[in-house]
Amino acid sequence: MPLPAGLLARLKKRGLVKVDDNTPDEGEEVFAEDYDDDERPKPIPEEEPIEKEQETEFDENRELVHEVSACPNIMNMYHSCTKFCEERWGKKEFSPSEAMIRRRDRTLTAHPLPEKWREVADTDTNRYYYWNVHTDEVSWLPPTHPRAKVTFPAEKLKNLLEGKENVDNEPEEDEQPVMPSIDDSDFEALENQIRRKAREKEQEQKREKQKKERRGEKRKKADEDTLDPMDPASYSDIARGSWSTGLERGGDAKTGVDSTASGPLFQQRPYPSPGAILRANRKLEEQE
Amino acid sequence: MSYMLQHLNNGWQVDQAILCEEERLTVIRFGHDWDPTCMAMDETLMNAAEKLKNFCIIYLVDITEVPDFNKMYELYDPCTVMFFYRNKHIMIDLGTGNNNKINWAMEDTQEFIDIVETVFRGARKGRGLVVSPKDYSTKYRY
Repeated sequence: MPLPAGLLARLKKRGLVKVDDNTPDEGEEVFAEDYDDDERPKPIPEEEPIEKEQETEFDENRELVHEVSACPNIMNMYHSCTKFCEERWGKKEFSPSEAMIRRRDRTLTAHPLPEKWREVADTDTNRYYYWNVHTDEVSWLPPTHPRAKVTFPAEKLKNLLEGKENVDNEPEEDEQPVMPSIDDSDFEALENQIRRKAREKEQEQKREKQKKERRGEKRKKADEDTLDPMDPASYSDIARGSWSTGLERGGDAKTGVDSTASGPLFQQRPYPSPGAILRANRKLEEQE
Repeated sequence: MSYMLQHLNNGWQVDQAILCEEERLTVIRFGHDWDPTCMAMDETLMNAAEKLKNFCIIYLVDITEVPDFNKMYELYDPCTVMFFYRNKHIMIDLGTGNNNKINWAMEDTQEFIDIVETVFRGARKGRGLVVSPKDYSTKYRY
């Protein structure tokens, strides 16, 4: 069905109608030119590694690596690594030994990882640890292993020790499991504290929910008893409506006008524009 | 005479035709080309189109081919003429009780031109309702 020529020209001018396929697309041409141009410097190469790092977080198939800067002061508790450390010393490389990999394979076949648990390479110890994507818990052994100690990351516990409240807001890259050999009763206490807090929160939410329900019941009872004398149901044959009766609903056959208008008001109602009608029709179709 | 005027074949075209017109009125005749009432109206529209080309653009829409607007625009009459300006429906007080549209066939070209001119002037000032230069209420007197 051809469009009228004048309208077609106008639509083309506005870019609403596609130009014939035979004619080359201007937008693409420019894009291709950009790629061929060797003389131009590549835009912002520094940003690339950051993107890659984020990718490792979400790509299912790639190996996750817990990256730590190679700063010699990393174990110094009075030193916290800054951006300068990272630039000066770089990142530690993950170089696993063959013996470790063999052992890890054996444990993994015996105790496979449950869902939501991911294997993460630790550059600090050149070992793999396991990380729960949802609860943020970590463990050096697979959590199904009988001797596995599932803990919260050391970074999180450290933050708690320092009295920081925003434990949850810490960036995820900072997690590192507590070594099971350390076996600090301090950390265990902290862990318990975290768990207790979570439980208390849950209970509070439950209590509030119950309260709300009780309040709702009261209001319902009051409504059922009395009939408002101004309610049309009290003085006419109309059935008693609910609170949503008479509200505008998408599914109704509507002309976009006040259906209760009568008399001179009836003549004052404009129609909606064709675009609005088409959109409304489409919405109705989608609902069905 | 309908072949002299431009037809719009679907709802999208109707929408775009109205959206695209920035300075002129869009006059749309809803009906059927084979309808005698529409034939009479199209004759008038065709005669007026040339003279009005700076004020308005006239399109014909077959309400069987494009049923999208039948419900919302209450297109029950054999012939309906509606006015749009900048994607807004412009009403005319014709004295017939229906301010939304001309739903009969106008025989007089000059009368139609007068109405279009009035609508155009009103719409340019931002009015949504204009008063027709002639009262058509007597039309239905015996």
